[in-house]
Amino acid sequence: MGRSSIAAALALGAAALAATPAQAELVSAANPQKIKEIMESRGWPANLVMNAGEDPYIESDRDGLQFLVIFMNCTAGRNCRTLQYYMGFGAAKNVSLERFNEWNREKRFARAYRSEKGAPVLEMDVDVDFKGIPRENLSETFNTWAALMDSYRDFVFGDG
Amino acid sequence: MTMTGSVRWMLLAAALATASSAAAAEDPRVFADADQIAALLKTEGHEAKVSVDKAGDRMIESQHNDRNYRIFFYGCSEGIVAGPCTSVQFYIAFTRGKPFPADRIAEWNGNWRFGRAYLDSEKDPVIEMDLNLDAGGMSKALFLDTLDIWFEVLGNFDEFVFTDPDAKKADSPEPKPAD
Repeated sequence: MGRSSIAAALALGAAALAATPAQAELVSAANPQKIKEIMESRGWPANLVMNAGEDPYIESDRDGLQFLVIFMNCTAGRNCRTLQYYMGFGAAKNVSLERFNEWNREKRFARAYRSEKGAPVLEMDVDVDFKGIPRENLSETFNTWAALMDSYRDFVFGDG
Repeated sequence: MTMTGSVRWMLLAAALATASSAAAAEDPRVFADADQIAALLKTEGHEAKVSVDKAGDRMIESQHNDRNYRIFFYGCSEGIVAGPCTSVQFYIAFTRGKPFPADRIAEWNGNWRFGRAYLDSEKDPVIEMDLNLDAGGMSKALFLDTLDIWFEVLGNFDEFVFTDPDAKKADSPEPKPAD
């Protein structure tokens, strides 16, 4: 009922959207500590690294897959506006350009490529400028990222 | 922590700067709803035609820099009669009339943010950008900011595709002007 009633409101046009119910908590990249807390609430370790004048990043891992949440478009390391989820495999068999192309053609949200050192990399960018996005929306991007990390491990190390 | 080339830093600077003024006092939520997004695009002065894609979901056909791009809708459980879907995908394909080199696609993906580039079955270069609009959607200001990022991605990829580093200038099609 909740979803369908929202759908009905949308049918009335964009102006009807002002009637969207209670505002959800917004999360932006300007608050790395909050994003660290959200990651930890999922049971993911989150080591926030903040060096003066540099973009903050969070080191994490999930099921043995290490990854980073990098804060970008910052001003002197603060007031960041976008996020990048990043994972790279240091040791992996050679993955052909054709295979990378296959990933990028078939998958959504995250881009795969081979680093200059030959490591398969997976990246996903999220715009969280202004007041940010609802916490639930950010959490969904983490769900998406987690699924993509699993797929990428199979993609890089699997027989396919 | 050197995974961010300087070129990536430049990518968003313009988009983020120009979009800042879009933050309005009234800021309705944007969802993955074709009618809503099409209306929003028109309000912002863009063309937007709602039609139906091969999967039976709605899509939007629009333009930027005289280039036709599409917005696809995903997670639309009830097909074309549904309300909001869960996510959208911005899509544009270019053709140069000959196969595009796979190593240049790889170069793109290693150097730029937000877009995901690949060669389609005809070896034509395609770029896509995905956006989750489920679970509360996002503010209008942030959606328009993301739209500006897409325009940056589209424009930069357009220029990249039609700039052949190995060809003489006379052989290279002229990229479309930036504006």
